[in-house]
Amino acid sequence: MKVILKDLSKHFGEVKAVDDLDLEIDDGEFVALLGPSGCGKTTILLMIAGIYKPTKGLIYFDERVVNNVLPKDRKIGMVFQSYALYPHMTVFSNIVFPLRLMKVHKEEMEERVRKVAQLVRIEELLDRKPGQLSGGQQQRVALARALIKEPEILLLDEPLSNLDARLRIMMRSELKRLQKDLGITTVFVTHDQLEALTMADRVAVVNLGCLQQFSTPDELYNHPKNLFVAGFIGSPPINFINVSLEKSDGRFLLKSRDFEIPLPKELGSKAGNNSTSSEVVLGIRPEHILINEKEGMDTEVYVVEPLGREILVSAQLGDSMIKVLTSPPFKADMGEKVRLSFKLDKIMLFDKKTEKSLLLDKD
Amino acid sequence: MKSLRKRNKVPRKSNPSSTVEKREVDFLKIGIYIFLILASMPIFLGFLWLFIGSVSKSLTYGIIPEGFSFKNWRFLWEKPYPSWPDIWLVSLNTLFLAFGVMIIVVAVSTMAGYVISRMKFPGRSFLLASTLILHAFPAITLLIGLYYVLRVLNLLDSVMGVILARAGLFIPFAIWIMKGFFDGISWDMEMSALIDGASRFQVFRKIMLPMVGPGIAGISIFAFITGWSEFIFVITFIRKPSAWTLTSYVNSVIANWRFVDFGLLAATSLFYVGPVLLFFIFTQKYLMQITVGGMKGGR
Repeated sequence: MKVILKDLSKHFGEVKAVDDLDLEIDDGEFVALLGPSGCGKTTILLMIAGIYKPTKGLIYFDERVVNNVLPKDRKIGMVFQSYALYPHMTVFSNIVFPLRLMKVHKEEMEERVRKVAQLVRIEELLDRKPGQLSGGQQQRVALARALIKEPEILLLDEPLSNLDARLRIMMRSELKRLQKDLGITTVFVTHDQLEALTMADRVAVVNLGCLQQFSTPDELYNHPKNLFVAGFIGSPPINFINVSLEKSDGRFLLKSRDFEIPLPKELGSKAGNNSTSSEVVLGIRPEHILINEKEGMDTEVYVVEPLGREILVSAQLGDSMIKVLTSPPFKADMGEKVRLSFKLDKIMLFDKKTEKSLLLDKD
Repeated sequence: MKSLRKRNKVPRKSNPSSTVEKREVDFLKIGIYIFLILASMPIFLGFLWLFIGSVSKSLTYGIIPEGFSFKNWRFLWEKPYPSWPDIWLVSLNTLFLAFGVMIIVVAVSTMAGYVISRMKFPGRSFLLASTLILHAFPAITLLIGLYYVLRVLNLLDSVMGVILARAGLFIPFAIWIMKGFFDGISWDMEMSALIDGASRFQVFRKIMLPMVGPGIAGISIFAFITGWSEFIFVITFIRKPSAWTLTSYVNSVIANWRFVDFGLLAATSLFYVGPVLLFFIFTQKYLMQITVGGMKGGR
C-alpha cells in the first residue's frame, strides 16, 4: 500500500513537532525516518498509525484519505521502541491479542500464531511471560504481534535501539530480509544513520520537524542536499572547512588562509552559478582525502586511531581539525608533518548562508 | 541459598577477622529483637488478655481472669439480651458494609484514576486538588451534615447509608492511589493496544486493569477494612437493632446501662477482630505494593 503525506503538520501548543511535511512512500518500500532525537520522526510515525491527529495536512493510504480513520481500522502493525508487550499475558496471548479482538475462529487463530511464530523463530517461547524473555526475544514477540494481522503497513519505532551491538547487526539483516520476503510497506524510525543506510530502500532525513532530503542511501551519502544531511550522514563525520569561492583567470578557486584549490571547470562553474555569495563551506569525507602525498597542504598529525580495517588520522590544518581515513600500513607520530590532498571529484560545496548544496541542479 | 551459604563458610574458616564481625552483627540483631519484642508487648498482651478473658469464668475487677468456661461465647447461639439482634445477622450486616464500601470504592476509583491519569479535560487540576482536600477532611466534622443528607435520602437506619457515606469519603484517597498506578504504565502500552484493534474501553478493561491489579488489590483491602471497622457513622446513623454491625454490637456491650460484662466484651471483640486479622495475614503481600504506587501518585 502506498502512503502519502501531504503538507502534514503537528503542533503541540507552541511547539511545531512536524511542519509542512511531504512524503511519498511506494508500495512495498522500506523507508527509514532518520533524524536526531526530538526531530519529530516518532510523531510522524504515530500520525501514520492514527494515534495522533495531524494539526494540518492529509494522510493518504493509496487513494484514500485516512485522517479520520481509527488506528484499528488502518490495517497497520506497529512495533514500539519499548516493545509494549502486555506483561500479564503469555507470549501466545500477546501475539493472538489482535485476532481475539477481531473474533477470529479459534483454530484459525492457533494456525496463524504457529505460522508467525515460525517466521520470527519464537515457537518454543509461546508459554512464557514477557518478563522471562531477553530483549531480542521480546522484540521478536512484538514483531509477531504486529505481523499476525497481516497488516498492509508495518511501522517500527527504533526497532533496534534496545538491543546489544551484536544482536543489532544480526537483526538488521534479518529485518531487511523479512521485509523483502513479506513485501509489506514498512516505515521505521531511527536516529542511527548506519541503521537507516543499511536497511532502508530510501531514507527520509528529518530535522526540526522538516524533511531535509528523501532519497536512496547512496544519494544521501554522495549527494547531500544541504549541510545538515551531509553532516548527519557518515561516520566518521564529514569535514567542513569555511572557504571563499573566488574567480581568477576564468577559473574558480577555493581559498582559505591555509590553502588554495583550483576547481575543475565544470564543478567551478556550477558552484559559481548557484552561489549567492563568495562564502562557501567545503565538505570532504574522510575517505576522500589522500595522505602523505608529495604535493598538498601541510598539516600536523594530532592523533592516530587504528580501527583495524582502516586508520583514522586527525590532522591540524590551520585552526581546523581534519579527519582522514586511510588504509594500513600508516604510521606517524603526534606532531609529525604530513601532506594532505583532496580528491577533487569528491568534494562538496555548500552555500554558507542558505546551507544548500551548490553542486545540485536547482529544482 | 545453599550455594550461597557454602560460599560464605569458606572465607569464615580461613579468615578469623570475619568471625569477629559476625559476632558484632549478632549483638546488633539481638538488640533489635529485644526492642521489637518490647515494643510489640502492649499489643500482644492486649490480644492475650482478650483471648484469656473470653474463655474464663469470671474476671475480677474486669482484669484478673478466673476459671475456664465457654459461657462468654454464648452470644454465638443465643441473644445475651432479648432486645439485641442475632449475632449472625449483625455479622452479615458488617460483611455487607465492608464489601459495599469495597465495591463502590474500587469501581469509582479505578475509572476516575484512569481518566485523571490519561485524559485532558477542563477542570482536571481542580478536580485533583479538590480530591486532596476532601481526603484531608476529618469525617467527624461532616457528621451532622451527612446525617441530614441521609435523612433527606431516607437512608438513615440502613447499612446502605453508611456504605455511601464511608465510600464517598474513602474514594478521594483511592483515586490518588489508582492514578499513581496508571501513571506508571507507559503510553506505548495503550497505543499498542489501540493499533492492535482495541477500542478505548477495551484497552482499559483488557490491558490497563490487569496491569494495575496490585493497586486494585491494595485498595480493595483498605476499603474492606475501613468498612469493617467503621464506628462513628454506624453509631450515629444506625439505631435500629436489625441494622446493627459488629461495631455497634461491641459498643453496646460497653455501653450497657447496668454493668460491663468484660467476659462478653472480650469474646465479642475477638469475634469482631478475627476475620480482619485473617484477611490481613493473607493479603499483606498486596498491601506492601501499595506504598510504591502511592508514592508515584504524589508526582
